[in-house]
Amino acid sequence: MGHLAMMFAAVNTGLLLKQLFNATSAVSLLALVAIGLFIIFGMMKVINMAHGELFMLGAYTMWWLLARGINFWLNLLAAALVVGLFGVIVERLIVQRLYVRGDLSTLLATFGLSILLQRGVAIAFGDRPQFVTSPFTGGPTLLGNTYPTYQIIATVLAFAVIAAVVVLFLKTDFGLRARATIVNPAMAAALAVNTVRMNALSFALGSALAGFAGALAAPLVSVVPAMGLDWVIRAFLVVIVAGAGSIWAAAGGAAIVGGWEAGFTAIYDATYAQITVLAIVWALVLLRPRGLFSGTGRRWRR
Amino acid sequence: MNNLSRRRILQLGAASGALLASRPELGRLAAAQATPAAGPPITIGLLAPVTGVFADFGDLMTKATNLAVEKVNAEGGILGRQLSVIAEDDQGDPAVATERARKLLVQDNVDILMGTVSSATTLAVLPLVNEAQKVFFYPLDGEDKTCLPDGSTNPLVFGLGDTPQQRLVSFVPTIVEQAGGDWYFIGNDYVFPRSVNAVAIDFLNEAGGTVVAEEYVPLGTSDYRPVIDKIANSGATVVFSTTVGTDGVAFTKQAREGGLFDRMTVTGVATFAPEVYSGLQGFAEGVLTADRYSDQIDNEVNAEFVAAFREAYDYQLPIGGTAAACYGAILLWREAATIAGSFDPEPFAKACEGLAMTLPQGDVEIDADNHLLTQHIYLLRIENDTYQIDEDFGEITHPGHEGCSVV
Repeated sequence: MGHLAMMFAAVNTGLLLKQLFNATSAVSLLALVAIGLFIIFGMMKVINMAHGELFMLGAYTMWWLLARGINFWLNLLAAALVVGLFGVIVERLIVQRLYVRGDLSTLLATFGLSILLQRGVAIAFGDRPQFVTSPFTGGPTLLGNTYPTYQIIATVLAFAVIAAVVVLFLKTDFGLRARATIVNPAMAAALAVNTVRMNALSFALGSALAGFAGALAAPLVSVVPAMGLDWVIRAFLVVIVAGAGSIWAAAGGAAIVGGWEAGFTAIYDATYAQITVLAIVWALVLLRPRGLFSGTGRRWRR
Repeated sequence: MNNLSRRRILQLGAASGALLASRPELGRLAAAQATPAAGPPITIGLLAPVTGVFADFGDLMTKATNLAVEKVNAEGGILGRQLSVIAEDDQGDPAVATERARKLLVQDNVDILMGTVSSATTLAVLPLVNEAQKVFFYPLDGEDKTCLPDGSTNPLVFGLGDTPQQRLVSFVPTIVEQAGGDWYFIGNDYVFPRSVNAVAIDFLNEAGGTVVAEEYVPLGTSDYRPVIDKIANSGATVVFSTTVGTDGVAFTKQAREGGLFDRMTVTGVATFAPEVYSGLQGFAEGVLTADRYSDQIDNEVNAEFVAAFREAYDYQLPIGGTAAACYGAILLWREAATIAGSFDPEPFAKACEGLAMTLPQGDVEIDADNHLLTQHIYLLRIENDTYQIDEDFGEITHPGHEGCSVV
C-alpha cells in the first residue's frame, strides 16, 4: 500500500527526469556487456559463461592501476586492452580447441574458467570489496535531483563505444567478414574469409567490451570477485531476447531488459521488476523465437 | 605420520581427556602446575565459511580464532591443556554446514563447536549439536536461537552476536531525536533485513516516528539508483539501510554520488559494517551506525587484541565485531573452563551462565537466563577511516527469548 501511494506521489517531473536518466545509464552499461556476449555467441556460437568474470577483470584492472596512481581514463583503455588480450589467450588455449566439439564443451569449459577466475582473484586480492572511485564527486542539480558528473560521462562513453562497434560491424571490411561468418561460417570460409582469425578477433573484441564495461562500472558498484554475476545474468537475458541476428537487436534487447528493470523499480518495486522482466523475456521468446527484430536481421544475408 | 598412528593417538588422547574430565580436581591440579603436557589438546571445531558469499567473514573468524588460541596456548593453555583448532568451511550453505558440523562433532569428536555466519547455517547446525550434546557458540548471528521448541533455554547453546533488540533499543530514539522521525526502510529481500526492520519499526513507533516506506531489493543487485532517487524524493528525513555486503557498498556509493546524503540522514546496520569498509571508505564518511564493537574501544584487552591482529595479519583496515567476537569467545572459554575445572559440556556450560568479564568490546556477561551476551552497544561515527565512539549506550540485555527461532 505504501508502494501505491509512492506511485502517485512519483508523478513529479524532477524525479521522472532523473529516473529516465537512471534507466538510460543502466541500459548503456548493460548494452556494452551484452553486445560483447552477443558478438562471441553470434560469431562462434560459444556461450561464454566467463563473460561476467571478464567484466570483473576489467573492474579489477581499474582498481589495481588506480591504486598505483595511474590516470583513471587511461585505465579504462588499459582494462579494455588487458581483458581483450586475455580473451585472445582464452580463445587460443581453450575455446579454439573445443568448439568444434559443439556448444556443450565450450559452455562447460568457460563455466570452469569463470570459477577459476573468481577464485583466482579471491586468492590474489581477497574477497573483500575493493575501493574504486571516479575522478568526480557529485554533479549538476536539475529540479532538485543530482546528476552525478561521472554517470553522465560514463553513459555518453558507453553509447559512443557501442556506436563505434555498430559502425565497425556495418561499415567496415572487418564487419562484412564478421557478419558473413555469423550467417554462414562454412560459406564465409569458402569465400576466403579466415574464420579462425575472425573467431580470435571476435573473442578479443567481446572480451575487451566486457573489460571496458567492468572498468566503467567500477566506481558505481562493489568491486568483488563475484561482481560479474548480476551483469552476466542480465546480459544473457538480452541475448536470449535478441537472438543471434543483428547487433541492433542486442542493443534493443538491452534497452528492453535494462529499461524495464530500472523503470519498474522506479515506479513500483525492485523484486517485482526482476520477476516481470523474466515474464517479458519469456513472452518475447514465444512471440519472436528467432530473435528481436528478426526482420532487419535478414538484411545481413544479402 | 600415517593415518593409523594418528587415530591411535587421538584415541589415547580422548581416553586421558575423559579421565581428567571425570576428576575435576586433577584438571585443576594440572592447571595450577601449568605444565604444557598435562593432557591432550582441547579441540575446537570452527565452522567458518572461507569460501562463498560470506568468505570475508569466514576469513576474519579463522584469523581471530587462531590468534586467540595462540595467545591462550602461549599463556599455558586451558586447565594446562593446549588448544587446537579444527576448521571446516561451511561455505555459508546450510546443507554444507550440516555435513561439516557432523564431521566435527562425530568424527573429530571436538570438545566445543563454534561458528556459522548466517541465520540459515546456525539453524542447520542446532539439531546436530543437540544430538551430540556438545556446547555450541555462535559468535556472529544476532538472532536468538538459544531457546528450545518449548520456550525454555537450550542448556548447551550460546549466542554472542548482538540481537536487533539490543542494537536498536537506544539507537533508534537517538537518531529520531537528531534527524527526525520520518524513516524510509531499505533492505535486501531476505529474512535478516525484514526481521531487523520489524524491530526497528517497533522502536520507531515508540519514539513517535512514522514509516514513510519499507522497501526490499533482491540480494545481488548492482544498480540501486532508481530506488535511491525514490528515497530522495519521498520526504523522509532518515533512510535506514539493511542492504548487506556488496549490495550495501553499491547502495552507499550510488547514494553518495546521487546526493542522498545531502538530502537526509543515511544510517543503518550491516550496510556500514567494518567488514566491508575496504569498499566503502570515503563514501561512508560521517555516517552514524550502531554496533557492539569498534577497534577504538579503550580497554587493555582490546588494545592487546588490536595490536596483535594488526601485526599478525598486516591488517590496516578498521577491525570489526566479527574478529573481536571470535577472539573474545576463546577468552570466555578459558574463564569458564577454569571455573568449572573441566571442558565437559555440562559443568562447562553451567560455568558459562552468568559469566562476566572484560572482552575487546568492553564488559560483557553471558545472561544466565537466555544464554545471549549482555554487552555494550555503541553509537559509532565513521570519520577518517575509523569508527569513532560517539556515545556508549551501556550494557544492554536481550529481553528473555523475544523473537527466538529454532526448528
